[in-house]
Amino acid sequence: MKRLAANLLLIILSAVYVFPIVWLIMISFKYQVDIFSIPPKWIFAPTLEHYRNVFLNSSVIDFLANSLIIAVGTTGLGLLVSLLAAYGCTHYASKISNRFIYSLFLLRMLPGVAVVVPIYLVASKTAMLDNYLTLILVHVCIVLPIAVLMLQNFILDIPKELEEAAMIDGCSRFGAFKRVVLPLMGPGLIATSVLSLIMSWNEFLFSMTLSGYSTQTLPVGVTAFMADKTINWGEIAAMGVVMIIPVAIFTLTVQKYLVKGLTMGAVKE
Amino acid sequence: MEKGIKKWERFIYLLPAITIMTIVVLYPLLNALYVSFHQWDLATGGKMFFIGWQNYRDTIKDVYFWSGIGRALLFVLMVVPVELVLGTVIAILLNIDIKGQRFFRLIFIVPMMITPIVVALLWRIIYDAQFGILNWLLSLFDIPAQVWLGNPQLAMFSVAMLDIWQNTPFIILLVLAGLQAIPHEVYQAAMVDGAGRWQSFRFITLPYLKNTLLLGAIFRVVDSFRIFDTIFGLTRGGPGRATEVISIYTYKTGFSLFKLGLSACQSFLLLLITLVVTIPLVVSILRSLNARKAVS
Repeated sequence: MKRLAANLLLIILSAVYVFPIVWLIMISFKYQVDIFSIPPKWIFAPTLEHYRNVFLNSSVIDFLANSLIIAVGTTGLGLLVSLLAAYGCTHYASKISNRFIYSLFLLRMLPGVAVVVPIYLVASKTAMLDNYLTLILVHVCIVLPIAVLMLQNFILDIPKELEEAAMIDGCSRFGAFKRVVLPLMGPGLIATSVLSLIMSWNEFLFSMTLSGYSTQTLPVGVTAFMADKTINWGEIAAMGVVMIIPVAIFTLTVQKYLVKGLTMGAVKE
Repeated sequence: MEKGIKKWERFIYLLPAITIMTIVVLYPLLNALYVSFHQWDLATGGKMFFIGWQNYRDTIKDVYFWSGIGRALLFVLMVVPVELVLGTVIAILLNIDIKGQRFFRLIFIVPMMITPIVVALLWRIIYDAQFGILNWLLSLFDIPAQVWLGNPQLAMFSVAMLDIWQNTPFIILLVLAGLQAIPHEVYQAAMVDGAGRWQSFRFITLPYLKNTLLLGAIFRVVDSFRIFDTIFGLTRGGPGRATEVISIYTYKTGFSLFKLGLSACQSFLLLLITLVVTIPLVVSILRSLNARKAVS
């Protein structure tokens, strides 16, 4: 009986929860007339018109390409840098590495707005505005705290004996890490990459202020569309769905590691 | 083990990360400290000249700066308690052994990871006064239509609803992880001793969850205090200044008024305020982390 009540409550709550997303998807397939009909139409003749318009719009394709370039660049550079740092913090724990971890937490907590003007000033002085590298470096800083702590956790999960055995067999310390520990960290590396892809893909404040005509990402582009006087809900919804799909798929693949990642290893599942 | 290691070797692995952090965060902040003692308005010519503490005096006397901080704090108080309670309730429901448990979990996870700016535009469509689905739903219960984002009295509440929708899942995930760490034997022992459901929740579940909830609260307080994306996407701080939290206000000073000196100064004060609040929180997180490492 109680189980049934709990089940019912969950069904209601999750229906409420999932409704906004379902609604967005429905709008993206509706003709303009149906979008604005009251009462809303639950059953309607679907159309791909909005998706066609979105993908035929050359600036949307540019936004998409920019988003991908920056997200992939961030993940590649971020992973490399974080992996080195995580290795250093794990194997050579010292005062410096403790301070480093401390500063990572501060970096995680920093309000973006408090640094966006300072970064903008330096970037404009060095002619680095509207530049992929600038955005990638900034995104790396956003990803870094979570990535380092996550990777450190994964390194700690691997028994030290394995590495020591490899060192007895003649590997250097770093060699042992490269040959023994790294291959065992596959899931950890994937989870960290996916999380940093999502974070870079979602980032808005810095992408808006530091980008220009040629580096605008999807979140920036969709906001500009939204600000237009003639709001076309169908196309905006279609763009929204296009942005949600990769995030949803990726999130589901790293589900297991989300808690560990988002709390920077403070909670283990 | 550690004997043969040269000093530089301890440091070299951290070097790339530290370099990037210095270039992207530390150097710009120091530069901004320098700029904050200058007047530098792009709107009126754009020459920079030294004015001493004037920007700081102006900011401290600036009503809108402090009301922005006040609004951000109010926002924290509006969303974090609700997210903690709602998140805990849903997590406990999800922890019961029922059919489709995994499916329900998925539903609750996705909103948390969606691009905040997409969440904002999605809710703008829902909140729309004329064609929005929310007003239609309420009309079914004879509740009059509301101008969710245009009414200064409602706007903050509307933003808070969005935030609760998006970020409660974070608490759900945390609490689920916390619940799974409670050993079953404890509940069994309590049942043998005749404890009811409420008692075992009150005297077992809650104490076990205390640290998890505290940690969730810390992350949520920090993140909701610095909220920018969703408010920018929903209202841009409006109507009037009804939702102009501090991050929106500071952003506007820099990027729509182009008062660079003043906005560097505001950035700095915001940073100081955040650090004063955050450093004790970070220390407490790290302490619990280290305690855990010592145990395992």
